Amino acid sequence: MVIDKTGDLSGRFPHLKRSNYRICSPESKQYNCISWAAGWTDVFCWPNNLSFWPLTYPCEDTEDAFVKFFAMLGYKPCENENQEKEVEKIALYTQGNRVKHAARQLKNGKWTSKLGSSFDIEHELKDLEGDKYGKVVLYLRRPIQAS
Amino acid sequence: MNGMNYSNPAVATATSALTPSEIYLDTAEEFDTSDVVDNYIPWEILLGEAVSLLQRETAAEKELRKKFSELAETWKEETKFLSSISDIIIHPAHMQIIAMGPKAVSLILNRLKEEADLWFWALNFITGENPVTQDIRGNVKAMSEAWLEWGRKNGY
Repeated sequence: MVIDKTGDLSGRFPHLKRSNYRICSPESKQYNCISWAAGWTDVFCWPNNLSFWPLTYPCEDTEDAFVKFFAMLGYKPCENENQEKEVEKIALYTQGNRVKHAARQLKNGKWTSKLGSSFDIEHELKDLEGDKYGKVVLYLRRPIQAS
Repeated sequence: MNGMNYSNPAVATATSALTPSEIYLDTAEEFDTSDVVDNYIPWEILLGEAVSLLQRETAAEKELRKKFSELAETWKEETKFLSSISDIIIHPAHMQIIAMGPKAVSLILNRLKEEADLWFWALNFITGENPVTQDIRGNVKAMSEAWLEWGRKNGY
């Protein structure tokens, strides 16, 4: 399916309405959704022998593996996506018990996602649910880090 | 000299006194030229066949490049929004490129020269090699350069 060059992603993400998202960066293969959720832009993260992934962590795309990965950065599981003061949140999307995507909450309550090797967008959390990323199943939180 | 038996040592001794041209003339009638005549292929035909073979190989290479290019573009477009390496690797177009085998290596490396991209798994599967060191895992630019260096060292 060809993407409209004007940036209409609804063909790929049916719940994503044009009025509800905006593209926030150029395309880049240097980092992916996991890296972006972690706050990095110079490395491609995934449990794999050729991606960035801690050697001692489970090399599998399960929820447990990603919970452990983000725990390295101070994140712990929490109940929901509700915005909390002085708290940063990450949401994990899974499909068939396999993690497919991660999004990070912004200060304005919306979410930011790096779409694979493409660009990153600001969006509503559930708008990226569907065939490509599955559903949001897990939320993680940590105190806002000093920048 | 006709009909002489050259296996006879006496004859060999006698003929050693002859000059080369005399030996040639003397042996010419003994030499059976029928094999040469039967198997002789004019050089024009040989040249034509060589050119034809070269053209067939060039056409095959061109077809391979075209197929690779189509698969690469399909793979790139259909996986651009994916982060899951598993999903990226098992995409049918990527698997077909891997199935091309060693012939795809130079094509992939040419792509890497243009742009750092996620070709590492295909190169690893096809070649069995892995020039990516632990410290650059996940660094797409550095990993691409490692493979390009591997290509230079291996004649690509």
